[in-house]
Amino acid sequence: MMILQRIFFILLLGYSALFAKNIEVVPPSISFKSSLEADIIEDIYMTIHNGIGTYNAQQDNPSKLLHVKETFLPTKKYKTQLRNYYRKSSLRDKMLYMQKHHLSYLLEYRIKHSDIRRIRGTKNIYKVRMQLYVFTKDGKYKRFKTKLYFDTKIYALTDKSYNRITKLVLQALR
Amino acid sequence: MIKKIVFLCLFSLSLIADSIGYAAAETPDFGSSVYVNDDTLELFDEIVELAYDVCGDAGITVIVKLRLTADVINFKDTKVTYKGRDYILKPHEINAGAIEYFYNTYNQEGRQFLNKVARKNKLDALFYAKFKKSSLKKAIKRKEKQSTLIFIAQLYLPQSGATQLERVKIEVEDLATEPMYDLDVMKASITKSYLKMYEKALKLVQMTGGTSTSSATLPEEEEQPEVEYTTDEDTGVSIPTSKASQAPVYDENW
Repeated sequence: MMILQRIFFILLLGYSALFAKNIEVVPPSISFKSSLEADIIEDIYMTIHNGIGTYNAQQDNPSKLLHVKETFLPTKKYKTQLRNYYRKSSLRDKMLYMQKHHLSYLLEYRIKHSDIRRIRGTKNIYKVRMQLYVFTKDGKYKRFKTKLYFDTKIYALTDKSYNRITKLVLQALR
Repeated sequence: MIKKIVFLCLFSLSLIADSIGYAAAETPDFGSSVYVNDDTLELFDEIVELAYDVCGDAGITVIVKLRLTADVINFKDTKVTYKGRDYILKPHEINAGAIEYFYNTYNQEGRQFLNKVARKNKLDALFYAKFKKSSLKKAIKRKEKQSTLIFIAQLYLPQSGATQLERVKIEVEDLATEPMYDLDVMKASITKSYLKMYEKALKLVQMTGGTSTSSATLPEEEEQPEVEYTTDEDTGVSIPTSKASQAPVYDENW
């Protein structure tokens, strides 16, 4: 029984490995002016990953699962790698990059320094404008714009913003 | 051709996962720049311990317990190589190089580290939890009467490399001086988050053909830890019945 179960698992694993779609998330390439900026970008990064996990949880078929590839983290180690990626930021180069890394999707979110602003009249709420791009292998892309709110009292994205990112990722991958 | 098939089978066998594991959160280390009193440290210990216990209590099959604190490391592997040197890991023994290795891998290369742990221990899914250190530092420095701590419970699925988050909000009064908190409410929130993720984990593990599904089942109501729960209609947070009237109000519209 155990052997049969294992053989079945191997077959399933092979099947899902063959058809799984790969995805990578690329954070913005800005040098952080403050720890706040770094925290905001990291929080968004984590939430986008949560969106991908939610996408996987909604699937009924292993062949539709997204396999998350190793991604650029916004740390010093990956800074050069990120900078190089952004230097070659034409659509053609992105397609080449996706081919090289066997990606089905490439998620990229962009935030500038000027996109992070404290809301007037509040001490703890920051508004963040974010653009989310989803690139596909065939050279097509979709862009989504959103406004997010970061509360420094809890030092995290607000619940609404957290849910908004998850929804946006699901919408982007649809 | 046969060789290739045999190789593929062997490779697949090595990837067969067995269970759902749990890596304990680390008690935050605030460094020398922030003064943290003993009561506050005790609170963080309490939260970490609660999350640690909830796994067992809530029915999560705890196979591997990794305790990553400053002075205690329990790990299945006894040797790690870091910066070209080998470090032997022994439980309850301070080993500077190994601790540095764990801090760096756990903090900076979290996903790679989790992947490694999950693969080595043949896990279908791995639960872990953490605090955001910068937010805690700010909360302690502000010395406000009421603070909200965010404890992030995460689920890592090595099959797809995807993560799922649940944010547990913990309301604390007088964090910087004498922290006041409701232990039952805290436990209820943590349990609720872990159960949610456990359901997701089971679904994904079943889908990708993991082997733990036969033994792991969701706990029945009677098996819930000690207290009975009622769900607050406004907030959706489970609150122990006896404490329902004293439950803190969670503002959804921050």
